[in-house]
Amino acid sequence: MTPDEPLLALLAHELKNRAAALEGGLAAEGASPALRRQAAGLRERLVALTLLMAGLAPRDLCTETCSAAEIWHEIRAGLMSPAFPVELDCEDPPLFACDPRRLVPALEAGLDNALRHARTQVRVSVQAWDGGVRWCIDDDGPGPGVPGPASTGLGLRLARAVAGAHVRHGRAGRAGLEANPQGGARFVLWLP
Amino acid sequence: MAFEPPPPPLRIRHYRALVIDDMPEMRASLRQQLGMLDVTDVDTVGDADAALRLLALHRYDLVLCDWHLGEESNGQQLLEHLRETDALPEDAIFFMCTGENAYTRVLAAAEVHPDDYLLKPFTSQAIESRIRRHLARVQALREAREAHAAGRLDEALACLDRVVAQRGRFALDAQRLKARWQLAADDAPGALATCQAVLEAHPELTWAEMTRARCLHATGRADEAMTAARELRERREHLPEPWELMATLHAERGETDQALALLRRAAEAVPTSRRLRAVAETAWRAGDLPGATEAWERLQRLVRTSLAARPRDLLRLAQALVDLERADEALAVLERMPRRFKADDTLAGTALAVSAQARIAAGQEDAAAADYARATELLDAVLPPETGIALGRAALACGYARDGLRLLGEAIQADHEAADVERMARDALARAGKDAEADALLAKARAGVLGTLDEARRLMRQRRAEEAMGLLAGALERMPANGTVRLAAAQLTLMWISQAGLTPERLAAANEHLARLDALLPDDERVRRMRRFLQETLRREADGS
Repeated sequence: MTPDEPLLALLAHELKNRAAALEGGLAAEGASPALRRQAAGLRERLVALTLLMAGLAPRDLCTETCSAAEIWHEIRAGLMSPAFPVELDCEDPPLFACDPRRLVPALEAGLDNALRHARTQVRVSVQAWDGGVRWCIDDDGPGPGVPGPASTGLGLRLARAVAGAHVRHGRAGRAGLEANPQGGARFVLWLP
Repeated sequence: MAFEPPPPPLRIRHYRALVIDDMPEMRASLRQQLGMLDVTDVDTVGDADAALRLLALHRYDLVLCDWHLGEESNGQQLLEHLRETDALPEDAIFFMCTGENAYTRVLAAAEVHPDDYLLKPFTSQAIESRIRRHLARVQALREAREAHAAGRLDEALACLDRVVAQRGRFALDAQRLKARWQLAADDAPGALATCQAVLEAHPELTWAEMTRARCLHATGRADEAMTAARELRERREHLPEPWELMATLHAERGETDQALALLRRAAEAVPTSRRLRAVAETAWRAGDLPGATEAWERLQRLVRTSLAARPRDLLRLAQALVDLERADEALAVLERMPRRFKADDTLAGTALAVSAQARIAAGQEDAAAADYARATELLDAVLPPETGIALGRAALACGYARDGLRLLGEAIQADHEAADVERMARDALARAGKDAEADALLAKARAGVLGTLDEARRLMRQRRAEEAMGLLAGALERMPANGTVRLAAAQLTLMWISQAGLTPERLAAANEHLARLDALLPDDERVRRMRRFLQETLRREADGS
């Protein structure tokens, strides 16, 4: 049987909304962080799935000038009792153009991945880089290429799709996983 | 190594919020998410009608509206309706929520934007983040808005320029506001320059492209405006604004059929009361009564629960139904007329005049005569032209030919410049089988007035303003209900002010003329333009002293 794409898209959309409702319900009823994290993870994966199925182009973005601080605050506020302290390491949060509704889930995917692989710490930094801005999420886990717990690669594909849709002066953003100079893995997302 | 401190807590516990979503589970979910931000005073509704009812009753600080609101309407339509009718307080926050499938389309709204977009499914952190951003934007633009609201345009624009120069988060918002204010103040070349600057940095930004097209039109570059609107339409087919601008350009070339077709497309894309009214009135002027009636009927359905209903739409619909020999429907429309309209003597009198015509058509002659008699009791000697036409038609229908002709003649005199009035008068005479009298009546109605006006204008050109004013004052004494004379008197008074300066007497005279014109020619663009001119003059005087 060949997969029926419209049906799959509809299903993913429906499940995504139900997951969000579940997540909201758990939060409102004061459920444990672990349960809430599971619900959030489910929603994030379904968001990634629907987005990747629909495809993402520059015209699908609502680009605005954002401060790295406001983006980070939204991500930080959504973190439920992480195993390690996670802070943004940044002298002077840069301003840059992005669609925060797209960028936040992409960075959350990178952070989620780092938190699952890290042994003792996760460091997030952002800086002006190569005419744009570069976000780095470093962990001290086993490093890239080692399949970790529950790793499907979906998060990385989401991040690549989101970065790639951000195009400025003919340059597209990019995302990837590389070796952290201090050991472990580094998730990098660069926007033009 | 520095760490970014968390922002101070957002104090929105006192907010009253309205959630509009057609899915019950989404309404519950949004209520929970707002609860997590300590916002507990939340009303939820499932459709636009219910939302309009609540928005008329309560003052909301935050509205979360889903774009998809069932088969009948959508969030953009509701938002445009709210903005058109001032039904949303200035400082209320309106967020449009949308799923992945409609996000791109929703983003591309050209001119009427929500305060922000939320992409479903979103978290309470996303709502919080967008509220923070919105409040920061309000703060960044506050000084400019205050100066603008106080009528200090130059200062307001200078404030915006400072926001742009800082190259901060809200530079683009400042540029958008600047272009809008420049265009509204008739500085189309300035607005065009603002749009060009934006488009250099952000090509294909919908609002900038649309405003640029409007500026080209306003600076007389009609062909370039048409090309720009057409290009935008090709890329963003669901946007109503390019269709509308193209319609205006076609109408200016006298191509009414094309204009009407384009207005219909715009009203299909986002049906709002303003767009349906434009379709109805254009069709009506083109003599397409069934088309006009259909648009007015849709308009009535759209505004039935709101305060946006306008009496003129209802009265024109009823008149068109009479003309289409659908007298029963005309009577039903008049029957449904809101009570607040009937409390106004002019409106109630006009309605009775249309009702009298409908009753004659329905064979109810006694009831028609009673309606006509009651209408003449309610109506003053001074009638707005459309009311005069309706009453004249009622008189002709009831068999009072002399009164009918007199009323139609007075209506034409009351605004001889308005093509609508002349057309309505000719139509009325034709329907009463008095075609032959039309030209004579029009000529007679104009002759008396035009001679006086020509003489007054000649005196004005010779800088003999006092004599010109005296002549018009005499004419106004004889014909107090004459809009044409009143319009000329107002125009010449303003000309006098700009030639010889503002004095308390001239200001009082100008204000008196404009106040009278509001009653004689309601909703008239010429009157609005004169009022703007007077305000501008007063502002310059205040700045100079």
